[in-house]
Amino acid sequence: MPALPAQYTIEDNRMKDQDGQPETQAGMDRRKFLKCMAWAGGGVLWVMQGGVLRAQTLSVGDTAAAVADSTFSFVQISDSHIGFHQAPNPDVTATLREAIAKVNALSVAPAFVVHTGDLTHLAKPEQFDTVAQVTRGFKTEHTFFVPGEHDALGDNGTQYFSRFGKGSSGQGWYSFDYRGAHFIGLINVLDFRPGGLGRLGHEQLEWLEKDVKGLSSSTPIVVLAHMPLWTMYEKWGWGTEDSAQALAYLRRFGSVTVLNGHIHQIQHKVEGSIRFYTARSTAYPIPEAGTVPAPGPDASVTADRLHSLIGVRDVRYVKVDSPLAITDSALN
Amino acid sequence: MKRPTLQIILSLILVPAALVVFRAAAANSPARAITAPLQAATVSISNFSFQPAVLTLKAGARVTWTNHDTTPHTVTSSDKRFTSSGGLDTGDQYSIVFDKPGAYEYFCSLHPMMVGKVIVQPSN
Repeated sequence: MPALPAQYTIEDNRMKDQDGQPETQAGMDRRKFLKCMAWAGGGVLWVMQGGVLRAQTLSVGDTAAAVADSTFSFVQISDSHIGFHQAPNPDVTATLREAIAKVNALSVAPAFVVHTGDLTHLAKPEQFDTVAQVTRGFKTEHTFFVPGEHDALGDNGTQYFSRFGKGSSGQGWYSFDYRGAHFIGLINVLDFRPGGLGRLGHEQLEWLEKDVKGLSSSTPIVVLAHMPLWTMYEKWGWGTEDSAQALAYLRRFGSVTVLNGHIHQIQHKVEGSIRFYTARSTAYPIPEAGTVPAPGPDASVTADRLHSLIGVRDVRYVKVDSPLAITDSALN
Repeated sequence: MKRPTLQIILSLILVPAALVVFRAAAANSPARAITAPLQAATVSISNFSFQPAVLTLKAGARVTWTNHDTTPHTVTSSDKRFTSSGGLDTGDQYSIVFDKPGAYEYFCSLHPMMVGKVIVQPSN
């Protein structure tokens, strides 16, 4: 492991406790994993421009031009639900593979990939096995994960953390810096309360406050979390009950981008300097809030339309003082 | 051996809920089970809701939940007073026999906006 470049720093609340932990499936512990990630080669995908986020259709052919004035890029995928096998997608492993192929085909490789949760449908060991095996197909060296509630099913995330968040003790949040931007992986899918929404919890909020305390307000912040960090539709549980406190710690920053999954569709929201995005699923779409009785898979989607409703997201970061641009690409 | 024999015969002809009732009764008061069968109930999990959301039953009754959604759900006691189901995939069932009177609130640990309640009354 080469020495970590001085300009890249990594924060992880559990690192201090995890020395001596066994190695991960990838042969490195979380600390090494984050360190390796920190100097991973620069692609291009966040585009920040004057405080306004732009979304545009990005085909593989567009990438080179977009990359030209960017610092680096990364890709977000989400909600793979490995183990789901019903309408409208009986083979979610195949569509995850397609998503990976699409990322691998980008003309400029992304720096890394983030997966914003619901890797599996039922948190079964064989489903996690499939995720681990298939995501090794990324040419990109590093994939960062945050868990979805499906990944924490039955054991409050124990199995997930042992495999995809090695070194965590069931809490698993982390942060790292990459080329001037500060990335924060939050967990809002544990310890749900009856009638409630997603939640971060007091301990994580305290950690977040400390994590960002020493950062300059000009540091671009990118937050990853599975469930939306704003209340999109409470009736369907699309929100995080204590997200306001988390956002309060981030409001002083000039550029905050929150990337979520969970709702299997693209939604955007701007709130002051904070921009929220939800991603498509690589597995199946869910109808828009309130348009159907319940937020389940949209089984009415026909096979010929499925690929236009699932996909991957590229994010370009041009430079600190210019805006971010986020591009969602369907699988077809 | 009269009682076990009767149990086997009943097993063949009665629905599972009645079977549970009789097994429970066999340990205590067979006569009561025969003359006043305890209640059993089903709850359908569909469209991200428990239907019916509130059930009122006699002590000793069995409740069976069936997930009819294509999304997994759980039946999770809000205060850990009964064993939680774990993930229920499409078509999976989960049953609990409520022996003690009281109000048992539960929710889906994947979709916590889904809540339900089982009210268990004394069986007399």
